Amino acid sequence: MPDPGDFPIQSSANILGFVHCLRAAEFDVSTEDAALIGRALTGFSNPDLRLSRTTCRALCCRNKQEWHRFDALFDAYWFPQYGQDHETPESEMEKPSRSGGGLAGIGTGTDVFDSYKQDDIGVGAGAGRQTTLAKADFRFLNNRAAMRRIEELAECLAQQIRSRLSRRRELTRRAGQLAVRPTLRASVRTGGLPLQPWYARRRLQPPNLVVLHDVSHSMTFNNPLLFRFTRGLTRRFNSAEAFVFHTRLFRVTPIFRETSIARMREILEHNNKLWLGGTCIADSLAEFREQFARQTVKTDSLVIIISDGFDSNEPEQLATQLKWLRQRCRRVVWLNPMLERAGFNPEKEAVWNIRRNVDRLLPAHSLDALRRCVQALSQG
Amino acid sequence: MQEKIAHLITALKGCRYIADDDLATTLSLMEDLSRPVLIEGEAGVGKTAIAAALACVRDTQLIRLQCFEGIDVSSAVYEWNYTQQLLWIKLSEQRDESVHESDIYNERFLLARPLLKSIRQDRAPVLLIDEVDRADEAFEAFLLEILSEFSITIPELGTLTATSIPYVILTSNGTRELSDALRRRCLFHYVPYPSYEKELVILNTHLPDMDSQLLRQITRFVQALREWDIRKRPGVAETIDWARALCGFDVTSLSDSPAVVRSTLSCLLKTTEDRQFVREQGIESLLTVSA
Repeated sequence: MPDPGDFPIQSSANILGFVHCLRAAEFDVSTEDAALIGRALTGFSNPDLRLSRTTCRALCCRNKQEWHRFDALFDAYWFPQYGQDHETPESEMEKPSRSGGGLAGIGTGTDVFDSYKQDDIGVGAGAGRQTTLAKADFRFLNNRAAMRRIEELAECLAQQIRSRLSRRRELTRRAGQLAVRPTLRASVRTGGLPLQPWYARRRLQPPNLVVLHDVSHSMTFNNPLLFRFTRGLTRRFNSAEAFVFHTRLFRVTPIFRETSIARMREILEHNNKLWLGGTCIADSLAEFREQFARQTVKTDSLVIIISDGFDSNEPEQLATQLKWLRQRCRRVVWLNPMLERAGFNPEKEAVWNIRRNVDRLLPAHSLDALRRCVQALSQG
Repeated sequence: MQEKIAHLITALKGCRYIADDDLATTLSLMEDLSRPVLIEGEAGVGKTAIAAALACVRDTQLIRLQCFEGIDVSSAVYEWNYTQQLLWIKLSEQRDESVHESDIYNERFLLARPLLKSIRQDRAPVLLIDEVDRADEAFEAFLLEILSEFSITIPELGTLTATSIPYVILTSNGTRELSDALRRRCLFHYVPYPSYEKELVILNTHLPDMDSQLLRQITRFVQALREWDIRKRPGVAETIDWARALCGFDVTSLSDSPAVVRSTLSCLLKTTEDRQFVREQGIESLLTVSA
């Protein structure tokens, strides 16, 4: 541990160097923050290690992850002789998970991606983390921390999907437009004096979401991110339903509603029937239609299909099922993680077959793409 | 500064809040830099209690704004008292007095909600904006304006500027990602689950009459339980509740009263799944650790 005695933080050059170090570690420290650190630390008559550390932490950290990483960065900059790593391994920040596997890429999100390390395509090549991570194709992320971060962001992003403003109005005692008729009706009790006015405002209506997630072998690389995205969608609205499919279809809503991600992973991994390879999208949709559609799909439902579109069924079968689904619900949106990837050359006919039978076909290979998906999904 | 922080820690302890250096430094910076503090952490670790303790230390008013989905200006900032306005108009009509707009829209009929109330105090209050992650983004953007300017514009009255800058504490449970803009305007503090030593001191502070050996056992038990893979880990508030419950059953040692421990676990475990999980695992190992 560093010696708290001799601590040379009062030099403004040192403080600036530390701020640059934090920015290099993807902390969002503004010039104003740097000035505040300088003002706070140089203002102290005798700043010791602990005070300086806590001051810098309060001023520079923006979230829990940065809070946990800060100490290691602080020690690495001010006490390089102690040989601290610049970044606390993500695995040390989290509680040890009882699960050790990695089926379909959901175990750690890393084992699968280790094979891509030879490509040596890192995350830190751009100007800053926010932009780079947002645009990075998550298939090429080989950094454990970045992978974790992008998974978290995907889940957060999914939770930003908005409730729709219903055309129906609800009466409230405050806020909104004055509802004349109910106010007059209520005023009868008080001799015609409108003492307690009623207001009307448009009701927020959560969308009826149904997510159908392809977990076949070809989707293995996409699943770490998309599982968290689906989890975010499912947890955002109580009425949302989630299903996974390959050659068969399974309801997984209760699993995605698990608060603990570790437990969700464990349950998913222990469910061997979920991971049988192969893809029969049309058959799975037919199974969904027979077993679950009556309970889950309503006329105003938004059905999201997450799949790369590789299907062993005939295209006509898929078209038939999609047509039926589209008639049954309000919108069908297909998120394809392969769509804008370099080197992905699907048969034009296959893409056209999907495109003409769904309302939107959107790419879902990066955070930026998912952000666009969320915007599209929020549009009613 | 060190003296100030040490003094603040002592003062918070006097208000039954056990703060560490980190928190005390952040609160001191909040006062020095006039910046809001965003406090994140799991439920039940004492985020809201920080605001109450600070209000107690500064001997000032605690004004709380509880956020929720759909919160709007009328619940957070101000609202016109329409009932009184209508009555006043009616009375004026009966007296054959003419009614002007300025007669109706003045401070007499203004109902100040927490945000407006907080900037109109003579003595700077502590403004607690609780669970800000539950509010929607539009309200968050509105908060940004208030937290940077500390002034509120009411179309009928004009701009009301702060008579005193409140100590603003925002709490979040992390159910939604807050905007970068809001985070950038705030100091940040994260409240983790307390260490064994800290939790023991907290229990001793809140339950000074309880046997210290039993409190040690309770703390060890809860600390071990938090390591389990349960959905909702117990916070400090739950630990205090449980200790009180055990005290009510006249328990002197956890290992001597396993039946009471089992029956009072509802103080710690708040979901059916967790209760089922703990029942399946058994509490013997926890009792062994706590002994």
